[in-house]
Amino acid sequence: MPIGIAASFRFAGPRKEKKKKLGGARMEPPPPPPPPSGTTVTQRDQWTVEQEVGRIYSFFAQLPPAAQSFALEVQRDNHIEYLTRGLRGLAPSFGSLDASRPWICYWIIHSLALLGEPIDAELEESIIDFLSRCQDPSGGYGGGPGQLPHLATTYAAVNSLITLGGSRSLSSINRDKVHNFLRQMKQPSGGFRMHDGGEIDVRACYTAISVASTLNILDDELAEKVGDFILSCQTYEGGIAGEPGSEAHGGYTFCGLATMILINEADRLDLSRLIDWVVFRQGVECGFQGRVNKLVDGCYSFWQGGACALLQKLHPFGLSEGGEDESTDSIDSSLYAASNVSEQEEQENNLESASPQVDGTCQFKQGGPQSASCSENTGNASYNFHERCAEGGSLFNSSALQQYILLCSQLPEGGFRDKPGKFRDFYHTCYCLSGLTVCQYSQSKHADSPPLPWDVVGPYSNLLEPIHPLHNVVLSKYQEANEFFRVASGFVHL
Amino acid sequence: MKGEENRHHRRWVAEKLGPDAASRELEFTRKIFCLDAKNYHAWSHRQWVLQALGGWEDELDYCAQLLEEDVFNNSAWNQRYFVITKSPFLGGLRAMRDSEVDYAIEAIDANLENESPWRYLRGLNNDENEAWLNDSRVHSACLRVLKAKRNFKFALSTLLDLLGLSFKPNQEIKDAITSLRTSDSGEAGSDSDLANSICSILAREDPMRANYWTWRSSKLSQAAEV
Repeated sequence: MPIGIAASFRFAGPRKEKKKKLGGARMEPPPPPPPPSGTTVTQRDQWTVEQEVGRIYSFFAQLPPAAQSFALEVQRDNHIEYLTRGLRGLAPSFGSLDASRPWICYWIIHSLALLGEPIDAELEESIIDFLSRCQDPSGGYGGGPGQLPHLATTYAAVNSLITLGGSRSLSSINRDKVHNFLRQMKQPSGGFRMHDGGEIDVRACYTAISVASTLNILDDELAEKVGDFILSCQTYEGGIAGEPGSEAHGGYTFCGLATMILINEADRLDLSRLIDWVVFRQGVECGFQGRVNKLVDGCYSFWQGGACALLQKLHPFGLSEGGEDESTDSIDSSLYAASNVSEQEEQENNLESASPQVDGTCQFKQGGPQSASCSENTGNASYNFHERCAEGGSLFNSSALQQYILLCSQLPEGGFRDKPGKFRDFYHTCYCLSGLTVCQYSQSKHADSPPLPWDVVGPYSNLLEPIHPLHNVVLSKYQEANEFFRVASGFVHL
Repeated sequence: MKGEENRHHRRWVAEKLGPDAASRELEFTRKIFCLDAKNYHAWSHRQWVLQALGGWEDELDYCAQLLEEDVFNNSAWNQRYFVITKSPFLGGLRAMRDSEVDYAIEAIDANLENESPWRYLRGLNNDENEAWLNDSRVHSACLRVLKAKRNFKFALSTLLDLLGLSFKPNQEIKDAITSLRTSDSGEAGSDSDLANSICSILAREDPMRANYWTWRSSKLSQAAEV
């Protein structure tokens, strides 16, 4: 499959490369020429990256087709080995004081799940045990046993346990205690504090609301005024910052947008400005940058690419056939609509009902009016959101992004990195793979149909597991957990 | 010093940190910016210091200095916006808008491809569209860029936004846009044709965002039908 962008990529390096061995050892390119004089730090840094990336693309472009195909393959076995070794390497140190182990767990476990690779039972057990010991007696998860609970580690732990799946893993989560912890972290302003005495920012809001949603404990109290806080973080640029006044940033933009969707307030954002900011974050290197005039980084494949994927599903401009806007009243009435599949599909195509509150899984509810707490409603915001279909292709350039991930971030020996010249790590492995799956599924017309061959750059075997786009958990695992926690809340399957 | 902070908290913090706290904290972040002028947490901290402890007096100058060193430093542009909107010494966005439009346009003219001042310029209008629509400096800046026939995607994007607000471009601007078209899809008659022209030029000139420009175009026809 030709990659037109590689051909049009502009770089100042030599146009002819020596022939290289097929799939052979990574070559060491000669040092790039120095940047032109009279340039600023930003320009020089950008120049350097463009040189490196350009070198990779031009080398790729002159490879014969078979070698190109190989270069575009997801090196599953090597990634799995890198990840599994990492997970095993964590195990002995599960007793030490490093605060980021739940995060590393999540990055590795999620990556393996994206690659469709199960984890061996013994390792799984030790992870569940470890994470259980990270639970604070009064709620939430800390970085390690005995450490104070923290929203970020709670998010990582919960997502890890959901990804592992199974009743042992899921029942190890003390939902009531987590709920208490979330309520303690909730601030009068509407935002959340990361931990006792910690910062209040958009990431804290996201980790709290995402956890609440997946555990089916999201209620009015937790959701109250979160929207106000996040709104105050949308900047003049259009993107979202960590705190009011700070710079628009990809990580916080994903967090803010996902949170607004989860609490059904996405339409309060200036979506056209947001879209305009996000799409311009994809640069000539084909990957995404985190902020204006900053450098490309593989992890933004998820933060920015994922934000685009969310935006695509929002149909933000009220383009409903009847010209009606998406008022809450019209949304509620469709909650009680019949739930057979064909109607659900019709609903997906009817933009008026394309709101987070439409519940295509009505068959799982007791019939009749909503008697549950708000958590049932807001849980639905998440459950069905992944089923919404993007219209007319992806907002961002999906094949270009896949190209960056596979050729510039992927290391053939396993793992992914920020950009050429940087080292691999589990964080980038997680978010490059997450970005890759977002790309692969970004143009799916129907939630249940798999991507078409031309939506997947490289061989079709590159296809990863789909994720839930709001929580970044493999979809089938999310669905299993969702079932589990609904039942745990007392809702009966019909 | 005026501010939104809980006075009790501010007094508590100032007492804890001592009377030199503001200048010490500002100096601390300044040192970080010498090494990494875009350090996100340092900028957050600096903003907190300004709001909690003061020190606004020199901040606009500091932004100007950073932009002098690197006009592409988006964190400095963001700080500039923060200062002009929040500094108790400057009178707020409306008071500052006029001079800031000049400042942004000067930066644009120096580097057409620099996204920061373009976004800053758009941010200055803050949804008060009248001033934005009638500011001939903005129109002239866009025109200058179009005539240069290179690095014009931000100029076209800005014009597209203006057209969405019922901007009535003069003939010179219309001609400049038309001259950038390659395909002959007829004369750009109505403004909606002009907007569509812009979208198709951009889909060609900015292929990374081809889908986005196509989608913008479809939004235009939807709006027209209403």
